[in-house]
Amino acid sequence: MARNIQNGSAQALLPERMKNTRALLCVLVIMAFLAALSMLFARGAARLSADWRAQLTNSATVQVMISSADSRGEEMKIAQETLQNLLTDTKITPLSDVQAKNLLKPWLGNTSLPADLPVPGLITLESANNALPAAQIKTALSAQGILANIDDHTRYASGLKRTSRGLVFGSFVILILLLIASLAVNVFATRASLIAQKDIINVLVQVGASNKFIARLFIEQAARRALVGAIIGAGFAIVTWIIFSANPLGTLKDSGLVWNKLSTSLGDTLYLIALCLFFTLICAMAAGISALTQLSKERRSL
Amino acid sequence: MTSQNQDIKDIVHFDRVSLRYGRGPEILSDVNFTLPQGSFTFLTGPSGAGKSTLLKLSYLRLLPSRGLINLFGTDTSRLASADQQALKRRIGVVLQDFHLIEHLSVFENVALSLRVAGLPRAQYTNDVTELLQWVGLGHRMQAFPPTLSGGEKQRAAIARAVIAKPDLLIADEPTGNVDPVIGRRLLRLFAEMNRMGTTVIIATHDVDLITEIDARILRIEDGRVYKGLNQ
Repeated sequence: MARNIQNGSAQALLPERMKNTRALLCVLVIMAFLAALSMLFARGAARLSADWRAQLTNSATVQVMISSADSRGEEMKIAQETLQNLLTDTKITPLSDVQAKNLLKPWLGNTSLPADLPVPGLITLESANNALPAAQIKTALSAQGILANIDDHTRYASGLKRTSRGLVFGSFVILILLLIASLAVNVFATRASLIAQKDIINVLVQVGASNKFIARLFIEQAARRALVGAIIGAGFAIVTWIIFSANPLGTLKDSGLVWNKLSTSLGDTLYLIALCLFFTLICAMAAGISALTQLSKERRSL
Repeated sequence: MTSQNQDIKDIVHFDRVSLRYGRGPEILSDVNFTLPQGSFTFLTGPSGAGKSTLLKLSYLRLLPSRGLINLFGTDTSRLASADQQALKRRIGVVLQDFHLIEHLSVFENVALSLRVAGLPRAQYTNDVTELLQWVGLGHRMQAFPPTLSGGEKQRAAIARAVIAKPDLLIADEPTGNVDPVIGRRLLRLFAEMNRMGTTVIIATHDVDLITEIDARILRIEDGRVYKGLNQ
């Protein structure tokens, strides 16, 4: 029997299954779930915004101010050649007169436009990787006697950047609040546990256990509980996110771009692992500090 | 008297110690006594006289309202928490109500002080097993306290108190729940520990037990301590 005991592992000094353990675990799972979801949302939003901004800054529209209807063809040709010489790795597509007029329809309706309406000539530019140099394009066209405006979407891109930063910041604030709430939950849980397990603590104190020794028991217990809660919560969050990304209701069927960018990546998984560990650390720290404070207070009031 | 001039051979020294709870009457008044190193002492007296309270003061479960308590030559009124725990590790305590941890097996309960002291399991397994066999709990090592009888609990509590070979053993009615044969056996264990150098103080009503061993007797009555049975 002694050999059996020697080979066995020591039993946990604090009981693992207490009355309210399940309720506490449930709270921790919910906290971890919300924290993981807000982190996934922040990362998804940042990724989406970066992608949109890249697309916006890699494309531009040149509006050639046609001096007269007769010279339209000539001016568009000069503008196109100038752009081709300047931007060698950019796709340059001039829009026909009809296409340019069609763009006015959302504002002017389907009424037939007068033939002599001075519609600017439009040329779209699409670069594979590089942002387009608006000032340089304007100068080059101007040197060829072409008056043009360059819309490089900077206005939209900066607005998008601000929005995305706001979303990421908001998610981060929610994440922090959830972590603080988890910390508070663990402080209360540890205090309650100290009261519930007063008899055990008294015995431990009697056999010479230091406050640190006893606090370590609560830290280990809280860390185990928090890790389980974090893994379950993060698991649920991933499943929720994947279902959300798959768009099962088809409400955003045509927004493939959005959902592709929102779906999880390897980076997200690493972030989630880090979040689980941080969540565990926070809970363990809260339990340790709470236990040490309470035990010291009790020793002083002996 | 303070630790500076206290004879270190007095393991316990009470100097005009009094205790009251809140604003209530004094439960102990001006108690003076010493437990010399290696002594065996019985503490007796009627129920409610303050035997358990006096023992609680001796193992630092309570702090006195007045007076000084020296343990192992150290003034306990100025002890830091860590030093207090270091002193407690030198004291084995057997309480009336056992205070066994219910979710731990008998083996784990008995090994508690060694585990708290940081000893590896392999180092104490044989000692714990041997002691449990000695107190007649060899077959109950894996049992949990709720399944033990009163006497078995008592023996487990005693085994826990003596396993770390404490310098001072304090026992509050240690034979109250066991039959006379086991009681005498436990007393022999205390006496054996005393022969090996442990200072022992046992609070008991049991006059038969007192007469079993030639030991010092302290009697507590009306919150005061007297020497001998009939003073």
